[in-house]
Amino acid sequence: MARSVCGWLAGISLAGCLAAPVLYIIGYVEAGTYRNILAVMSLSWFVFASAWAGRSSGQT
Amino acid sequence: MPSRLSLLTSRMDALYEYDREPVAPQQLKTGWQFASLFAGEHVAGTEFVIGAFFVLHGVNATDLIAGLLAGNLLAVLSWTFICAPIAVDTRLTLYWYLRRIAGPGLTAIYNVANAVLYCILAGAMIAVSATAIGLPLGVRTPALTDVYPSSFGWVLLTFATGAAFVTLAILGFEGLSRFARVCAPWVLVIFVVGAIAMLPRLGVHANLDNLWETSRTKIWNGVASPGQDKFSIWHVVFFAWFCNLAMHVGLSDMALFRYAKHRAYGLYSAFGMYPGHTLAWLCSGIMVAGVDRQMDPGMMAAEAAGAAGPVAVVLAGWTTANPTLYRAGLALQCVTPNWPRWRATVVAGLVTTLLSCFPVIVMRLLDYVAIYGLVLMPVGAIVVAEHWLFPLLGIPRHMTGATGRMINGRAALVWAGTLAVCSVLPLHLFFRWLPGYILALVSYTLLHLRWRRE
Repeated sequence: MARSVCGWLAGISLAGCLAAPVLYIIGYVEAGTYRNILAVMSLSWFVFASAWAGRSSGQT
Repeated sequence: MPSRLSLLTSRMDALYEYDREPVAPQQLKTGWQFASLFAGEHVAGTEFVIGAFFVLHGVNATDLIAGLLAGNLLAVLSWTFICAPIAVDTRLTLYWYLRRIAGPGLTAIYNVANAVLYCILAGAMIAVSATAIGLPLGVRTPALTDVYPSSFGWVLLTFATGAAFVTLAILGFEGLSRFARVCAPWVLVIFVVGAIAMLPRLGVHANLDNLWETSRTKIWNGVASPGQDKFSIWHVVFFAWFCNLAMHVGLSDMALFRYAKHRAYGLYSAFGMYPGHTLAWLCSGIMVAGVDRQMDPGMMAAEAAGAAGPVAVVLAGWTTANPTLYRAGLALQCVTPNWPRWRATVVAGLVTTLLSCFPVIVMRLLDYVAIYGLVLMPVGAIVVAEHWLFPLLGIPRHMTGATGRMINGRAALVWAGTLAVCSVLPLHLFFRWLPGYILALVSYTLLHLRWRRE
């Protein structure tokens, strides 16, 4: 996967982490769902951010 | 004795040989690199504890926000106007510059003091991580007033956590440093996420219309928890300022800023201070208020962010304990004959792990941070006097280095004297460093003026 794609997906994952508690406090999701979304988005961040950091900056 | 000291200092020089020469112009780093370095370094596991302690010490909301903004500004200015200019002028680490000023003997003593202080700091990080690891195992976190280990389970847990951290520090320092860079933004996000998720529990409405009212009455309500001192705005200002005293006023960040293109690069420290030492501290304050002020970082993060919370506590502690253990090992290696790096790191790790069993290092973390800065601060004052005041007063600089003496007796006297005076000053621990710094600056200069007249 290209480095820039990994970077974008990592950014989206981090934004997803931030969105999860907002959905919870406005009552859109329950506490359990919020925690699951956060866990999945966190895992996704580590996968894509590690891939982004691991690829050389020469790749696009 | 002098031959032993010479042997020790020559070993130390060999360890730091790679950065003996001033940084060359082509090695200078960009502002963006400084910003990301500071942003990554200042979101540690201990932030979960520090922000929470401001709630327990009864700081009110207005004082906390104003105090953090002002104190962190003073810290950024200290990097910009004290540390970065000296680093850019000399392009040297504190180690090599101090060697010229204070002599190799005193530099060795400084190194050992630094190693011990690093071990205690890493021990606090291990203990914070242990509170999260112990959560699923049912190990009780010690109480706020505990000094000694409260249970056998806690001792086992801190030893296991410490052993894991030390092993990983030996096996892959470089790899873990890269992993730490991946962790840092996520850990900061977990602070924010945890705080947002705690708001409904504190009674904040979905439209946030009562957020400020709740902050003033239920989070930072100005009431100290039983057994905790009441803190004012000045405690917050001074704490935020001296939290990294050894790095800015104490000049150990000369190691970073010698790569800066300009002295104004000290301003990039704001990228560490405002997200890490303002936002993260505010967030951990909200989280501890949401769990009825129970000082248990692992439990607090789990309540706020589910499984991701304790993982963030462990990773924040681990990734910041790793470079701390590495530095402690490096400092220790200079006094241990022919030891490889791994063995020095194991010994530093054993000391650190042993210390992490004692809850007092976490439960009195704010006091420890104050002592850490206080012990190393006079060295920064001595360097500032020699770098800036001596030329103004016509006093020759770097005489210890030029004459080849092992120890600058005046520097040793000022360091010890300042600490002795600070230990008896009738002020709160947080406020002692500033008069101590002025005392060290003035007394070191006066001693040299008198010597010059004689």
